[in-house]
Amino acid sequence: MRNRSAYVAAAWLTAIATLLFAYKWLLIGLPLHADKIANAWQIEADIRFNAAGGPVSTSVFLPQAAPGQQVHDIRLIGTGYGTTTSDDGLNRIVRFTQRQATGEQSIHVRFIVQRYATRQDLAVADKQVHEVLVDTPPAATSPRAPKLTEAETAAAQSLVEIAKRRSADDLSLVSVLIKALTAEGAGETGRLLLGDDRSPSKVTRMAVASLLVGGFDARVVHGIDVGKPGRTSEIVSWIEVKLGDRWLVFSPRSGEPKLPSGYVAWWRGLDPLVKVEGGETPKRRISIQRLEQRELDQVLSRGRRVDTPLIAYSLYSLPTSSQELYKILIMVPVGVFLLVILRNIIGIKGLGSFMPVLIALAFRETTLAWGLILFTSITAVGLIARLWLEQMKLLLAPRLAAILMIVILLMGVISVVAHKLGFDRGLSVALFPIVILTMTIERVSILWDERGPAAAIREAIQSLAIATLCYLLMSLPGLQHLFFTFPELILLLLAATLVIGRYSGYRLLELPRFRVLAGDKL
Amino acid sequence: MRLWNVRALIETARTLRARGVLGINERNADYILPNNERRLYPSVDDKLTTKGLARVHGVATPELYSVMRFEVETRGLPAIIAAHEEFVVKPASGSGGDGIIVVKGRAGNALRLANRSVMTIEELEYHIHGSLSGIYSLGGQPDKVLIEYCVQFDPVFEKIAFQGVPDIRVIVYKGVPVMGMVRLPTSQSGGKANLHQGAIGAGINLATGRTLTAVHKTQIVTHHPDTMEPVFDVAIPLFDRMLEISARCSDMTGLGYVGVDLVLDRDKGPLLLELNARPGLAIQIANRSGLGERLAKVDAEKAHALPLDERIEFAARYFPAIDSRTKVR
Repeated sequence: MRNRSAYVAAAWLTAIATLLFAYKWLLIGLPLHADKIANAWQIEADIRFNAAGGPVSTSVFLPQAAPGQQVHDIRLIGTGYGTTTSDDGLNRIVRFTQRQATGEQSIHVRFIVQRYATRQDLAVADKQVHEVLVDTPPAATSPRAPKLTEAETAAAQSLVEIAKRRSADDLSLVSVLIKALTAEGAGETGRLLLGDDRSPSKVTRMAVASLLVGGFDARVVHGIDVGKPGRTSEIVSWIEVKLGDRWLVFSPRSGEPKLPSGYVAWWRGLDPLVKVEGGETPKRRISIQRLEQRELDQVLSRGRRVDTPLIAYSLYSLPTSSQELYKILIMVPVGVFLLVILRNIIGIKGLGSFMPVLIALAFRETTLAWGLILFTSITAVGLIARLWLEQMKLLLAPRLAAILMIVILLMGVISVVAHKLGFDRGLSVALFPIVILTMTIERVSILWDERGPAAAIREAIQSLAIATLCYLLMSLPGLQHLFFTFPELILLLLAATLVIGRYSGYRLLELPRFRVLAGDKL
Repeated sequence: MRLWNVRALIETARTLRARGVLGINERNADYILPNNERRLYPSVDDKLTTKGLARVHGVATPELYSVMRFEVETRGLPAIIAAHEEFVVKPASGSGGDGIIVVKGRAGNALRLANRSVMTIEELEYHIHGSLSGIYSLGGQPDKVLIEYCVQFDPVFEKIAFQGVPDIRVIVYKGVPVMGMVRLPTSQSGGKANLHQGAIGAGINLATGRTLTAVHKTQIVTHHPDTMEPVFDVAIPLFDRMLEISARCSDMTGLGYVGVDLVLDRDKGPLLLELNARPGLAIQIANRSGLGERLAKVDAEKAHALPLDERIEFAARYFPAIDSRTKVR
């Protein structure tokens, strides 16, 4: 109420945690689910040709990163070849060179294309317009479009005229132009430009040529369709047109400014993927393979590669054994938070403040059913031992020590018997916190003396129920991944705990308690 | 009790809030934390300290026969038993009446207890050893054991107390008594005057010193469950004096929110039993009114600034009777 500092702190913590979380999720791309498979493909180009015996220079285009898409792990393999990579502003090119080569030559280019479904990409997909950031520089070496004959130029001009008449703006003009070119009854202009070849690649080239004639900035794009993985994949091509200050893509099949979702750009311009100087025309084979790699591992390895501080200094940077430890520890706040809610909002409490969380931690190792059986049986036998010790009138510390010794012996016996019977789960009894067991036995037995067996058993069962609840919550794998990957979420729990710490309303169970004061409506 | 009836729950919460019924969270956050400084707790958590403080401030407490701090001191038990027919053994840091043994006489070599059971001297020694090692203290720290005068309770309670000593609890806020009740042992509570063990608590009209209806667990009752005698409209002798002692106790500890437990001895009058820095909330059901309303009244009228006798008058004037809006079932 009067004290606002808790709320201020909670607001700050919430803000910091939310920012960190949003940054790591949306910008670094850490996934919310541990087992999400990455959108990654390994693409390999296999190039074979016969060398003439003199110097050989083979150039191959390399793909580039685009928004929401990364290219990495590029491997260039060519025995005896030196490689140089260059960039003409439009494309990246790798040149394999050798002073003297004879016989069959084999060159491999391999890389991984990875896509991220970031918020930004989704927004673009919503608009159904693919924007391309690479601009055509004047220096680009690859020709833009095939040279047209005079008749073809005239046909192209009339095609642009037709499209201009039938369209409302430049965006629809391009679509109409491509559709007019490919339509079955396109008549003279279409047949003149395409001839008998109505393949998408021919359509692409002629559409780009026509658009250039019509004064548009257009280019051919070559790429692959990762949506169709296979040993031998085709190169696909499409059209990019600059409208305003944006490059937009158009499908040569539909004419729409939209591509199949699997299309990945590789290079731009008319040139073929491979050009060989000093050898025969190359044969090439392209294979696309979906990588069965978890997105989490992808993001982590990328983060380590580029040294993202939030990954380099995350819990994932710890040795594996410590990571396993923290996967457990990081869930303790969740269990404790549940206890706070149960106590201060609901009004239930068990034996000891945080004992249920410790029992729940032990349940993780024993599994729930075994944990309940072992815990109940050890406590029951411990209580009998306590009853026996009671007759001897021992002082407190020796009595607790005696119970603890009996508890450990009992655990040993259970382990051995369970092992002999083939229940290896019984061995995990050793993971119960013995001091907690001892204190529980002592506490239950004092309750037994003072409040009677019913109250003692009720409280013990209540504690076990709370521990079970804690265990179920703390062992949710999704939650565990979330807190381990985004430990800042604990700050959110901290903020919520501070707010609950200032909650001065009724606890749920106080309502039935005081119901006679409210006219007994419950 | 239908917890899934959300509408009834919300309505109940609203009504309770409107009637100023205090919940645990609100009591802790808005009254105990701001008004009871942590460093003052030892003066109420340790009954021996409380006794010393009370003596300095002229508040009567049951006569102390002996204090035991070490196990060997139980050797002094036979001497105490020889000197006193009746006595009470209590852990200095016990809470909620736990660990208290009331000896009412002898049965051969053994001791006769208030709850009609019998205990040997060895059993009593063992009990004292346990208390000394901290079974009953908060957090299990080593404790002291007090052996003191057994209160001869006033005959006024004879018919409405079952095998035990009834006591009077007064909640004092910033030196102003705000609510009171008589706690009456039942067979269910085993002779203890503790509400959560099954004792009943009858509210008190602070103006007249007469009892109101009582609370048993969470229900309002009008008669004692064992003796079937009415518990309401019983005049408590010397109640003015008790209010004054309560206010004085609050002053002497410096605690702003304190529960004062008194007993009425037939011969010695009101005696201070113990103080409680976190007094329970069931007293509201006993009085059928909310504490929140009364605490707010004290704050609004700045009653804590008044001299002691005017604070008592204030209590009598503003906190007399039950909330007429709640009816007896």
